Amino acid sequence: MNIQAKLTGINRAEAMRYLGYRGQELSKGDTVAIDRCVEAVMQTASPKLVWKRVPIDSCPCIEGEDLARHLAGCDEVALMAVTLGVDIDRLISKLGVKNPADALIIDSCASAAIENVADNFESDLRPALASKHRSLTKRYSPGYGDLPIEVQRDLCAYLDTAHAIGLTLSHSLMMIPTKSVTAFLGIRTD
Amino acid sequence: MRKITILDGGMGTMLQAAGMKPGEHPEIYGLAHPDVVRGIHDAFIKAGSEVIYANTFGANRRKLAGTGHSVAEVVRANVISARASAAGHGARVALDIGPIGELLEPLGTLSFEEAYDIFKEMVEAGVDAGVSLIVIETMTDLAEARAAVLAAKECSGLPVWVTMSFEATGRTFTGTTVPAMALALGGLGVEAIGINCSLGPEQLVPLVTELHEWTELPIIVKPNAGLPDPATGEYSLSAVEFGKQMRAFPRLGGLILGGCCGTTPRFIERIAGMRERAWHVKKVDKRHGVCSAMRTVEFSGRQEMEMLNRPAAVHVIGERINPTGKKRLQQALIDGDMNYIMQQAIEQEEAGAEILDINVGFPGIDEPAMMTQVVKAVQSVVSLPLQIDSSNPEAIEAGLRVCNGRAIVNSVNGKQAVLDTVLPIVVKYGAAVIALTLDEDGIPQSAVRRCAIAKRIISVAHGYDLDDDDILFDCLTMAISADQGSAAETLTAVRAMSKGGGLHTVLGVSNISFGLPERNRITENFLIQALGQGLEFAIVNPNRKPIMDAICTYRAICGEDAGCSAYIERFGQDAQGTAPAQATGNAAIACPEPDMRTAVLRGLREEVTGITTELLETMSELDVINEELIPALDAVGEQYEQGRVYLPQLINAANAACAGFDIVKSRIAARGGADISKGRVVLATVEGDIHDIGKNIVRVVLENYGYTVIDLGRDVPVQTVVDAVIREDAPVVGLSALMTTTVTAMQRTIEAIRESGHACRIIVGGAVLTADYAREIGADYYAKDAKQTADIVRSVLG
Repeated sequence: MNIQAKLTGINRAEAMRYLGYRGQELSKGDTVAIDRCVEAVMQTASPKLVWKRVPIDSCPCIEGEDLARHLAGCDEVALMAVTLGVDIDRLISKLGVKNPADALIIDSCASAAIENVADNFESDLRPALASKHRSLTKRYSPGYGDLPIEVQRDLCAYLDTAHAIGLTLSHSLMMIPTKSVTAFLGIRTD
Repeated sequence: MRKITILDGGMGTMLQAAGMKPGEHPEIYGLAHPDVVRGIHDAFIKAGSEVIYANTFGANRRKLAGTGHSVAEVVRANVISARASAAGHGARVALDIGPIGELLEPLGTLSFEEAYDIFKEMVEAGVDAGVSLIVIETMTDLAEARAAVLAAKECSGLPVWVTMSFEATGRTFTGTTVPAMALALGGLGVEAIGINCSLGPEQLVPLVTELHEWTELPIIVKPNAGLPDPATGEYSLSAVEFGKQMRAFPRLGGLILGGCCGTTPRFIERIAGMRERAWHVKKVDKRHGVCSAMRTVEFSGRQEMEMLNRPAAVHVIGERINPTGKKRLQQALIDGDMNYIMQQAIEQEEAGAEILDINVGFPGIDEPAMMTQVVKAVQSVVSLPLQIDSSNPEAIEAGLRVCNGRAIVNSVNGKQAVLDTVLPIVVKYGAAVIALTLDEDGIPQSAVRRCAIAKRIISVAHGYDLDDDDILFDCLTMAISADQGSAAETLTAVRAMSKGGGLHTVLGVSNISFGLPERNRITENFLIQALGQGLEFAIVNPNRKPIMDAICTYRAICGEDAGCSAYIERFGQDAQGTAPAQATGNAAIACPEPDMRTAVLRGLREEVTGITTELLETMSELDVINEELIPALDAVGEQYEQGRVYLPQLINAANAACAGFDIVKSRIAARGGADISKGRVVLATVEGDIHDIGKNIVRVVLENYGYTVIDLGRDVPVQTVVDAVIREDAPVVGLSALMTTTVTAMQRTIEAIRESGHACRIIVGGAVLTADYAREIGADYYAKDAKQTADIVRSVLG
């Protein structure tokens, strides 16, 4: 199944929520700034995807109770990693010096953007499975519930994310590029 | 006619076929199954491999951590397997070095120095185990590849080959370009350079074609077996097809050939026949230049210069990062205030500088250490090639070592002692160098004498294996206020060297107007004349609009700016009166003469500037701060707390207030008044964490409340924070951490500050922290946002 990484849009409401927006009055300048940042993220992002479909018995890193519960009834797991690439991180670093307000807005827009890339993966995979009477659970990521963040290391090694999409982990388990998402999605027969 | 050398194929592919699981360490697998590894090497040698890569790709201490095996042990065992296979077949065994797996600073947290150390350990283990060459491959980050090459070169006497992995766009995952690889790694003295993995042979043809234009080294091509099927992971090419496609490379200088992912001994068999005959390599004019990982500034080629009777392009070197005569920059260097220096870098890049000069020489500064720090800081925010400017050889080497690209060294001159000291450093790092046309007898009056010195420098440089294209000749600009005849001599020298000699020329242009009023007029006019004589590099202040206007105009007139498109872009909008709106804050709002409070609230920088200037006519500086600017900021802060303005608006307001503070500060500085700082605050994002948006917001807000902020940046080592607290005797320290995994580093930092005995108050903040958690790790205060941080600092410092 050939699924491409796609960034189709940025959910502004979601980005605004990350910014702590609660209906404050925005000036023309404020909305112009948001438009500018949305555009910059769309231009700068270079979305990439790597994923593997594995039988649940040979799926690595299923630790703790919460993920097991999430995957209950599934016989397969889709392991996924997506990233927007390093140029977004570069842009945020530069703006942090030059224009911290834009840095903040870009950061939020980029967070919304990587969610969009992950959502697009799901919405491409879901119908392909449905045609075979299979369904897909939601995404479940390292650090959720009792799934330790340390799982990130094994998951990234399993998908060889550094080689496949340029996604690496720092010593302190931070994903770099920072705008990246990894997740487990369960697959089961309806 | 040239011979081909045949490499091996995909070790990982073969190991997986032999039963290794995804995610398993191939090097540990090799430790447990030496027979499998030997079988793979044997098969490749039988297929025709003359060089085999030992199974050591990921045998670095970061990847082996927790496996219970040392680097030396793993490298030794896998090299022994390879040597056993090679013995008796005449095959050479290479130590294979792949990426560490963590990204280097500034994108990641791994320092260049630590990366070097990690590679050094591998190289030493490989040398001990008896490899006959060192191969560095699959690199995607130029900085990491540089660290590996330096380690290999400095810790072994073996040949070093290096290949990077590109996408079809011609860039690596981190943005490194093919010319940048050629210039930067070729400059470090590798014996062969090339491309591995990435794509199939056919897709690599354009990349190898480009590489061939930028290097004279033998080119390594080790592609995948085509493109992988995303679902099955199977590669698309058959061995026969692979073999056919590989025949494109010898012509392009690709003389060392093998395969990467998906290539088995059957693939190698298909290319092994290529070494039976000699191959013709297509001749091309080599291209020259300097670069960062992402941007290349190409020097004019000699043929172009002759054909056009001018350099193919003129280039702007930004001169602003130089403390001579610049009080604010001097202060920034003393304070270690990298933020100010980074702002200077960004400003020049946006004004049109193509190369940035970096000079940090100032009494009381440890110049080599500061050079390292400033080069790293500047590289973290701009992607321009750098010019390392110092008379201190140690500082030059420190700058070149961490400069991620090919730099220019500024400068040498005709003095033998200077040439003999500096040129070996230039050669070691493969830099270009500016040569001032003066010598032991001082600055020659005449152009003829300057040309004679240039000639002598060339002959000395040739002795060090440098090329004419590695040198930029500075024909020396003298102030006309001191000697009016000198300008003509300088221009004559530029003409003789550039148009007459086909050499690269450079001038520090603004010296010309020293001591005269309306300096821009003189500088601009002289610049245009010099460009007309064939000046290729102009060292100027790019922030001066008339200077950049003149360069833009010159490029249109001489024909470099094809279709005058850059000229139209720069000036077309002015003519229509539709200059782009200021990209800051809420400036788009029309608001007739707002008061300070409104102007700050709406983030109107220009209005705040105007109001502040006006108020200073009737009020004292301190009154303007305490009665106008700070109450205005307080009002915004209050509205923020009430949820009536949101965070970007708060930041814009703080930024606007900043414009007012700057005016007040420069007024005070101008009359030599006392510092109005309300106290010093040290800020840092803790070790291991690179999230610094929150910390940057805190910085902006605190600065605008009148505090002096020592911003140590992100991923700051524990000891650096402690040292800064003691050095600055800072009463308040702010620490930020965004991840649960980095809060431990925050706790260690707090403990170290306490152990130092310094009585500062510690404020912590970050997404995962709470007031309870903050108390638990020993902080004095928890602040949920920048506003609260400012309130706490105010309660401590007043």
